[in-house]
Amino acid sequence: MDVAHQNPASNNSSGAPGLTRSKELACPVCNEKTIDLLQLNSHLDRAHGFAEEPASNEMPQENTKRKNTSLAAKSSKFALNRSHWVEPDPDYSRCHKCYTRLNRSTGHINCRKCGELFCIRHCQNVIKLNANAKYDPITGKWCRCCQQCAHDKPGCRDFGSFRNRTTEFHRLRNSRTEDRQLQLLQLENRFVRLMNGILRINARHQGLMLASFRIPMEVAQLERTVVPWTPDNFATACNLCKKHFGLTLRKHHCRLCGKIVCDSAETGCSNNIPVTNLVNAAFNLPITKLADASDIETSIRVCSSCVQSLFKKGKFEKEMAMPLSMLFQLYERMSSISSVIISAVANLGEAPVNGARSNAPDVSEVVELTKKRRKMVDSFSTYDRLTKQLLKLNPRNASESRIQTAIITRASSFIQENMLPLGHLTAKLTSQSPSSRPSQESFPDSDNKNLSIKEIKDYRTQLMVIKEQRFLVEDMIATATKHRKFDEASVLNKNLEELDLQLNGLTNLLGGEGFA
Amino acid sequence: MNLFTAADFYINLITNSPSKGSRNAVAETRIRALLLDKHTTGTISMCTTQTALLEREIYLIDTLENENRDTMRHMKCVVYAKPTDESIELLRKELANPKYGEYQIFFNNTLTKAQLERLAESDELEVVNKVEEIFQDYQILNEDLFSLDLPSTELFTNQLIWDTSGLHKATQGLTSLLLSLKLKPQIRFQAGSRLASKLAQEVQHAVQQNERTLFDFPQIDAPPLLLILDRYRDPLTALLQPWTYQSMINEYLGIKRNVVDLSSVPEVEPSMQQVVLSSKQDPFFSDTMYLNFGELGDKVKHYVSSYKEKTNTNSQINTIEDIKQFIGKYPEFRKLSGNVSKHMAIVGELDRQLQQKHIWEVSELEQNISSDPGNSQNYEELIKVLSNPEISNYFKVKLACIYSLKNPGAARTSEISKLLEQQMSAEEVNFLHHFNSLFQTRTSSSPSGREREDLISELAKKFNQKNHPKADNVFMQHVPDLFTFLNDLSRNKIPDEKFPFLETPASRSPAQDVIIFFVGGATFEEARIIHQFNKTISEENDGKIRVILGGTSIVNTNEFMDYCRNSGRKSTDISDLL
Repeated sequence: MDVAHQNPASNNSSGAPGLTRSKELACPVCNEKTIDLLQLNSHLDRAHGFAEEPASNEMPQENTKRKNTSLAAKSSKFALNRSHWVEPDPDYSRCHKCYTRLNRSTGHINCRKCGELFCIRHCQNVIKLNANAKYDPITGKWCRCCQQCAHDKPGCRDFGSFRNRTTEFHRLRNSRTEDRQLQLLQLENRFVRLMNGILRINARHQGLMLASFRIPMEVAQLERTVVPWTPDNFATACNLCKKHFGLTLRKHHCRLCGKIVCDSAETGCSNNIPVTNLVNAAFNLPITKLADASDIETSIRVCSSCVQSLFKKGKFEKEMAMPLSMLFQLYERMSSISSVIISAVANLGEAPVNGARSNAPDVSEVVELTKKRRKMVDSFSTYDRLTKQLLKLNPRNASESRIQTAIITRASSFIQENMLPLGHLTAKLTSQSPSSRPSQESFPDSDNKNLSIKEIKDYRTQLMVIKEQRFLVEDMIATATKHRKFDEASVLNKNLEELDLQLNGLTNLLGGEGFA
Repeated sequence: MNLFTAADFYINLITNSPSKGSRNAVAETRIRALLLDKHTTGTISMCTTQTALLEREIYLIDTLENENRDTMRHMKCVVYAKPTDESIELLRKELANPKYGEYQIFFNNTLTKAQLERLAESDELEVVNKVEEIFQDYQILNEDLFSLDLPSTELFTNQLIWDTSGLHKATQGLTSLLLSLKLKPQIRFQAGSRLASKLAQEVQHAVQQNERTLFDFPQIDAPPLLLILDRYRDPLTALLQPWTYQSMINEYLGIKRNVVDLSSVPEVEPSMQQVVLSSKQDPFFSDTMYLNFGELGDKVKHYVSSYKEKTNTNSQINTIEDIKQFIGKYPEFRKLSGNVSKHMAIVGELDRQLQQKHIWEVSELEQNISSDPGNSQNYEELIKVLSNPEISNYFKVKLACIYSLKNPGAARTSEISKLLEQQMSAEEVNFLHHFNSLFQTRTSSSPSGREREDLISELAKKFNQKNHPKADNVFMQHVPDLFTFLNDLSRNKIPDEKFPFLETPASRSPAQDVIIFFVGGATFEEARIIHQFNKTISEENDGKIRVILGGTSIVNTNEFMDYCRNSGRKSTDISDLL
């Protein structure tokens, strides 16, 4: 609330010029000192109830609750609860956001909502609040607030709506399923009857002289009983591909649905399928198989839509039940190892803290670190081996080969990401080993150039690290030359030479104790 | 209101969606396939990378359109498509003969009931276990810039009238943006523009239709604002040669879906034929995209020298420790080297084109004409440039257009066209007259059009002096109209007569979230202004206003000239006006 607005006679005339003359302002009522106009304002409001209507200037001090904001000042009926406001203290108060000391040049203001103190710059937002300083978008009045409060109001930092329509989809799907199931059942029944009948006929005539003559006749009779055939003159075009029948395109009846279809080789609307094949495909249907069903020569004509409805689901389920291809199996193993590596790396992240605490690392710690390191190297080599196996795999189709390359890309970046901590670990081990050496008395070996076991171990580790690095650098050179980045390749080549030098030095040092 | 955060949220939703677990399969793999259609391929590629998808165990990315996909029964498949009839048909085919074991389907906009039914009908094997709508039917270019990627030629039957399907597409795109940011806005549009007011009505209708189901966001004290502007109301901004990095790339090289095609650049390396520029993934680009060419030169120089420094330290490798460091930094180093040569190639090519096309001269004159139209010195300069045989006809016509736009009805126009006739075909000269009729009828048809324009340029000049102390840069004198609007916005004094409400709200409140949408295409220059506005507001005004810019597309001068050439050619049908 403005001083000028409230008490024009006394405050405006004495207060404002005072601002320029002296640094302190005295309260006209109790003579308490305040730094600036703003503070005087709030002091007046608080201590002397100036926040009230001008008429009630002499009201007792309990009237500290009512306060208008600068924005809502015009509607003087609105009063905001300000019991939660932080009191400004000229010595200690800092802006809640930028932590600058609040003084006259920065100004100070309470966020009307959270009550914290801010400098003028960081309290420029507005929000609608009710009298209890709670957010109220409908009936509230505009009040000043800080950025945090403005952005925290419900719906302000919200984004990303989405709508799940799965249940609706499933409902729609299920409404059709019943119908479809019924049709399928009917079709299956016909199929089973037909198949069983044909098998029986074949069994009956097996080995008989007239078999080749009687079987087709009886099968033809049976076919007619399974499903009523659509009369020939009912159809002028194929039921499936809608092509018109003529001299070259003949009419055929599907033995399962009785509809008239063509037998064009292009569209494959109907096919003459050997009964043996049909029986084998329908492994999930109750067909009474007879012992020697293999030499049945009967074929029946079935349209493609019936084949689809009858066998699609079976085929789908059969394929689903098949074991994973080699590629996927390898990937599953890789991903389980990668999760092991990730957790190990996360573990290592904690380890340095322990190391830092005790300056002189003890033996057990070194042993543990070595153990961890060995475990990680093992996992990495397993991972690497699996990657190589995967690389050698012959993909079954184009998609698999694309997946293969994608997995390789991912694996190489995975190794790059997680190799680094391993390197740190090695560095730590080598730095710690000198201190642990005295505890493990060395047993000099006569024909090994006086190297202690510990030293041999050290050198071996170093050798291994260098070899690892050499391998990596070689790889990089290969890719660099492949991508024609010769400047990179030359830099890398130099590194390789240096690595080789060190490698030679170490191998000489180790002599016969090198790796076999 | 960062578009990329919304995009990340959606990508996360798609790729991390938990699956029910297969119903009957013994074996299953974690590897998943992602199927996209031609629309979502662009959307996805602009807000994520393949590496990020690989991390989510998506190892196979393919399109619905591709019919030769192999059957991979053990894989689960995530489909992300736009609910067009074409994509639905493709999906139906896929579901009738599923190639994968299990499907989760996401759409980037609302799906009609009929479409859902058709999908349900073809899912005989019950392989679908999720259908979800997310709202991302737009492309994200910067964190505060989006495009619907609808070229103007498809949108309008005539310069004044929306094509029905174009209007539908634009409405859908804009609605999906509102949903993805969870905004239920008050809508304002540019006064006197039929295109803007029509779209405003359509969007309002779409919002009201879905009020209960989708737009049921908590009421907010300061309702967000959607402002729909008309490109044809500020043709000048789209005509002037741009000078900031991102807009220059769009002008001289073209950038589509974050891909810059450098294949036409002479002596370009084979690996650089197509490069990807994304403000999200390339920190150097995100630093420099709003800088002008001069500042950019300094930055690139600095970038190259810092790169050289790094290579030098790398060449001095003596100890194992150095090698270890080198190897640790190597991927970063390789990435940096690729990035440096990419930006070098682009900046080099820009510079070459600027020289070759005499852009420095042309642009200076353009800017002078647009900021000081009456000056006779500019006219003399114009005549000089128009008679220069080295400058291409395209720029001459454009200059003439700019001149006549700023000096409407001046007698000199006929002199200019005479001068042009000596050098080029009648058809090209005709464009000047076509252009004039297009924009003069425009300004005269709307009440007090001329007057308002003067007011705007006057204001713009004022703010130019006040807020741009460095406006002495001759190449960036012109201030787009958008700037004036932003000034009004920051003072919460948007004039009602210029930008009327579709439904005048009961009480006025300061806008906090603002979407500005250009019918007919926004420009990257305007994107820069928006970016600077957002930055200033967040630094100096405590972030009390957040603005996002969008357009039916992003235009460069060439595309805009083409639109002008094609618009108004067809005669207006009466039914269009009803």
